[in-house]
Amino acid sequence: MSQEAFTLRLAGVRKDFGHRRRRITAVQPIELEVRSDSRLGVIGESGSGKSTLARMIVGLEKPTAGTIEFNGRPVVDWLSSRTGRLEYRRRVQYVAQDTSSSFDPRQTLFEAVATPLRFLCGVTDPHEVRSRLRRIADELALDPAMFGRRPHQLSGGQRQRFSLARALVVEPRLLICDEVVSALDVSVQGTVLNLIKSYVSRHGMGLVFVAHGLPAVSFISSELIVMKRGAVVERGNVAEVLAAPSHPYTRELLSAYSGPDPVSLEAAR
Amino acid sequence: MAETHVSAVLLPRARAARTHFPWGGAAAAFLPLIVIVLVAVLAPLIAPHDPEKTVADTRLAPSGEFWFGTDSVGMDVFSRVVFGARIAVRFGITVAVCATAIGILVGTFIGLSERSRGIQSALGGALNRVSDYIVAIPDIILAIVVVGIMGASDLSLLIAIVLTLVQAPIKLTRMEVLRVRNEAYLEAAELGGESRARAAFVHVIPNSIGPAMRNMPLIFGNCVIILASLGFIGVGVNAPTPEWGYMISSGLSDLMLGEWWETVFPAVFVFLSVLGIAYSSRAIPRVWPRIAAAFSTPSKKRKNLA
Amino acid sequence: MSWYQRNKWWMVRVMRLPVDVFVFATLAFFLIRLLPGDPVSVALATINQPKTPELEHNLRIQMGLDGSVWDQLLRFWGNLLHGSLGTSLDTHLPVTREVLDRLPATIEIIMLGLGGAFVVTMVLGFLYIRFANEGLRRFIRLTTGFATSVPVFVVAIFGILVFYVILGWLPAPLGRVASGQSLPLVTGFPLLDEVLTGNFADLGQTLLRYVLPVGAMILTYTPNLLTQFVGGLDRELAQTATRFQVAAGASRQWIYFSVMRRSVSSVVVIFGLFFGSLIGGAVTIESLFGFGGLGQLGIRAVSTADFPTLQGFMIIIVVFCLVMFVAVDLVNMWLDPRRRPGVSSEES
Ligand SMILES: Nc1ncnc2c1ncn2[C@@H]1O[C@H](COP(=O)(O)OP(=O)(O)OP(=O)(O)O)[C@@H](O)[C@H]1O
Ligand SMILES: [Mg+2]
Repeated sequence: MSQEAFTLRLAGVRKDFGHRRRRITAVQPIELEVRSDSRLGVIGESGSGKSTLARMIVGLEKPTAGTIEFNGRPVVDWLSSRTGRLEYRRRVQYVAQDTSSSFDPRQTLFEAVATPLRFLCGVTDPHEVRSRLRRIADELALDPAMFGRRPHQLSGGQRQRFSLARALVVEPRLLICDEVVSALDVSVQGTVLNLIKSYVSRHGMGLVFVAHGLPAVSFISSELIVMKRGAVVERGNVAEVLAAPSHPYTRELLSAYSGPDPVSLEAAR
Repeated sequence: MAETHVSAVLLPRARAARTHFPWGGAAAAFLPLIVIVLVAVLAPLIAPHDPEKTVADTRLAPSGEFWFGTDSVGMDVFSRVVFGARIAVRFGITVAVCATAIGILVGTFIGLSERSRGIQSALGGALNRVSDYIVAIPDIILAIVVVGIMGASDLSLLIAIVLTLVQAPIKLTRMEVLRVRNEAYLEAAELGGESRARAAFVHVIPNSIGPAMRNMPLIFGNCVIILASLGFIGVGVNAPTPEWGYMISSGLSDLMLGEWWETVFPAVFVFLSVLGIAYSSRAIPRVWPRIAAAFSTPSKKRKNLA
Repeated sequence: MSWYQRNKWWMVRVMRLPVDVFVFATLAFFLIRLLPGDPVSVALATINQPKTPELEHNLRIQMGLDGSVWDQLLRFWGNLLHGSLGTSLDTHLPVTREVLDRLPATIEIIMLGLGGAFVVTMVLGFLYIRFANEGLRRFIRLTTGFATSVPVFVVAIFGILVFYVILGWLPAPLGRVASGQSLPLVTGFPLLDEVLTGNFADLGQTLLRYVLPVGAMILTYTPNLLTQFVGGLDRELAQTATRFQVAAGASRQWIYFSVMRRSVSSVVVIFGLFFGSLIGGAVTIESLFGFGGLGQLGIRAVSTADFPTLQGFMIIIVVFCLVMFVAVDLVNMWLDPRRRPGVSSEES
């Protein structure tokens, strides 16, 4: 397994939606660096631009201004050619916030998970496809029999884990998770968080983890940024931020989440 | 892996037990279509005489031998009417399949071009406008012009009818594509390295053809109507071919003299088939969800890892 | 609100018409030229003369098919601006005159059929809400079940069989007046011309000969209109506005009138969609009853491979349809101001 290092650098990245009078700025100019060993948490209230940030990194949205560079090469550049696009996608994968429609209702999960393997890693031999899928199922504690089902025959939590499987099957260097646990109940949240955490550390890969609450982020990540109305209001080491929040909004968040703290999540293991 | 095996085998049966194939509803909905197609397919067995040859005296009234009488050149009206079903069904199916296939492709292209950039968007927008204008041309008038310019032939008729009837599947598919293109699984496909063309054929089209497919019986019915109307005014299929509209018009002068059978029988057949097809095209979309449910749940080609 | 703002809704719609006409004519130009097959060779096949290159060349010029497509387009546009669509190869008359001479007679038939169907629909619709009789309602709903497009000419054939062949009550379907006589020509609308020239004997004859074709059209189109109307009535009856009127003690007549008025627009909407099939139906009816009209012109143009006539024929008919669409839109916006562009944003 290649453990190649990478750097993802965002410089002055801004995103506006809409035209003229209805223009809103979803992400204010932001500076950010993610390395192979980063585990970055992103939190903020609803509508603060977290998803937009994540989607810009994977190239689903184009920044209005600023550049995103991966290994010193702009992402738009990676995505402009076919081979570049495939290489970038192989290294950077994304799990979307809403999984209810992220699988084609007409495909089995087998087809859905095998597709990135085929196009990004060039694995077409049926034998190898099967063994790779079985491996990822093992790692994510999935029942391999469910690969024969269609998305509507799964529960939300199962679908979420298949989403993860689809992203991780190509063994990316950087995984971007957009609120993967927000829709799940607390016990399942713990399981999924643990799976992600152990997978990421086992494979030595980078992680950008978006959530709107503190507990999950503080459990899984080492660094943290707090967003509000599209701007980063606080950033730093998780422990430091938790101990001494500098922005009022962060303090508010902290007090709101006095309940289910990281400790109880640890216990769910 | 033993557990895997068990659940894989048990699962489809457990599902199948819940959604039965709706035999009664489906049979009732498809019956008129099936009868018409059967008459068309079995025409050589049903018809007692050659439909394009003089087999008896002219203008014989209906009798035991010539059930529907004979026409002004002594051809057997019953055989001609039965073979007329064949002409109608042949055109109807060809037109329904061509119009639906073309409509799906064009509609998908238009739908995917909207809000995209550059030349593709311009082309898609232009196609959409063209289709809006073609809808404004009355079908019979368009057919008259196409046949007049290309000369009378099966091909020109086919082009004329497809040109008018393709507009509905285009619009239906476009609407569906506009819905599907916002689905998250297209982004997932993009992230999985699938090309745009592949995504269009693998994800967009299969998920947006439903309405266009359910519209097929309606196209079939409209084709029968247009074909008969064109035959009736004399720009349809060429002369001795037993086509209903043409038979009606060629028997008209005899109808005035009281020899009604040459005109009335083909007219009854047009009437019944049009009503039957219209019934089917209303009933099929109603039972379709249940049929689809019965088909989609047990997937026999399941791929298993075990 | 200024006068302009109050009247903007219809002016905008009317101003769009010339643009639509121009775009459509250009589209028709290309559509006709993109069809496989060469009109010149089709026309040559119908001529009983030795086929010389010269003849072919002349024919090409007469059809306006010489030179490059762009030359043709420029000439076509130039003619269009002067209101000309070329000359018939067959009669050497301007195509516009050929078509416009026949259009009124066809319009008359269509209007009678459509108007009749509309009146019958209104009457049945009124009965539908006036008598809450289940039997009657079921009958009316059953009628709407026939809302398919059984071709008009088939219905008319059954009419001829019953009322001419068997009963002998109505005259033979052989033209608007008895053979040998000819119609006066003033406006081109036969009934109107007969009134204008004071030809009341002919008027009676023509009316009698219109019974079958117009009856067939009414019979065919009523179910379609009725489906829409009954749907609209059911919707409106369930509306809070209606309940409010009842509760407020409005008179019966007033409530009927108001519900009908609001439902009519659901019928008028489909006039637009329907117009194409009405013209198609009128063409077959004219051919069946021996009325000269658009259908006859089209069929003659096909049999003589008369390219300019075919092209002009299609363009003028579609322009007529486009005008009708505008009329339908305007009537609808007038009946139901919610349909006016920009209104919803003003009110909200
Ligand atoms: N495609 C779009 N078009 C217009 N506005 C958008 C679009 N996507 C997002 N926005 C706007 O951008 C802002 C940020 O949205 P974003 O989805 O990034 O928020 P979020 O932080 O992910 O919120 P949540 O926690 O609810 O997922 C919101 O105000 C949203 O309305
Ligand atoms: Mg979000």
